[in-house]
Amino acid sequence: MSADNEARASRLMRGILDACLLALTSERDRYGYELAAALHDAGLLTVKEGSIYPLLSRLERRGLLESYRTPATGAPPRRYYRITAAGQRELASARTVWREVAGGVDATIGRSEHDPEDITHG
Amino acid sequence: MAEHPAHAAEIDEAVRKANSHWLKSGLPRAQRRRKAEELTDHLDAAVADGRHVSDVVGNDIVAFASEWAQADRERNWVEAALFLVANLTLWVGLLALLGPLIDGRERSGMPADVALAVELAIVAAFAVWLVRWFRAQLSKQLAVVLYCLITATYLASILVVVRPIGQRDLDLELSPVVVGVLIAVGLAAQGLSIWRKRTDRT
Repeated sequence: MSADNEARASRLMRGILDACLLALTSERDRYGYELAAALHDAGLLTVKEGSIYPLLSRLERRGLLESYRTPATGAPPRRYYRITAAGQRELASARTVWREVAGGVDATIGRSEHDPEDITHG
Repeated sequence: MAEHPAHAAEIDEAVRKANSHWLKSGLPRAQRRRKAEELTDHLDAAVADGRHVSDVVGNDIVAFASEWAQADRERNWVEAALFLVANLTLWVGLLALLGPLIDGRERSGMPADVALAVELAIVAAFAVWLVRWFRAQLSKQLAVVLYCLITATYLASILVVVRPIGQRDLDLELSPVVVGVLIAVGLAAQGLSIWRKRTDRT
């Protein structure tokens, strides 16, 4: 991916990454590295791993996530994140918004991709 | 922990730099410990998976650490207020108290050039602190340029403004009660700030 495209993808992700983190923690409690790996596995390669931590802190401060520390076997303790009831509500709301926006954008971009005349001639 | 010594050293260095920034930013100890622990855990796992430290924190560890610290900004505004109160009251109180000693004369007051140089140093320190506060929004180059500008402005103001004033007196006449109150408030704010940083509040 070119630098310009990467920057665009990064800007797009900025507004929805919190919902992605909420979605992943709604499946099960996860720790930071696990969340980053899950985003990567989902194809969100432009998300810088470190960028999830400020976001996790904000989500926790807003009461959408909570964290707890568990000892890992043969390793230092590990911090897990768990979604709260408020986080579940926020996720449902984010999903609705995302579907509307993504649907609208896809319809617009997809239409011009298949038939540029549709856009130019209304 | 990373098995390869070079990787372990790289992780330690990254965490040390981040921790040092959090310390300077005034993050409470519990938060620093928590973030350092979490970052170490992540870097260990990433390196074990064959990735580099920079894949996680980028090439500017201070910017990374600053952005993470800013996520706790709500709490840091309290720290900022305490910092301002502590420094303003303490400096004014100490200047009024120590003025005659610095001056070397019996009456109240201190040399105008010394007083002005100290006041400008406070302003410069505050400007540096502001740059650090907004470090996450600035590129590394811009931050360096701003630090240089602050230093150059301070030195220029010493040469252009402070030196010509010379040793004329600048009286800072405050009653002993006011001086006492200022110093007490300053010490209390400073103490409260230190207590907040040392207390576990996660």
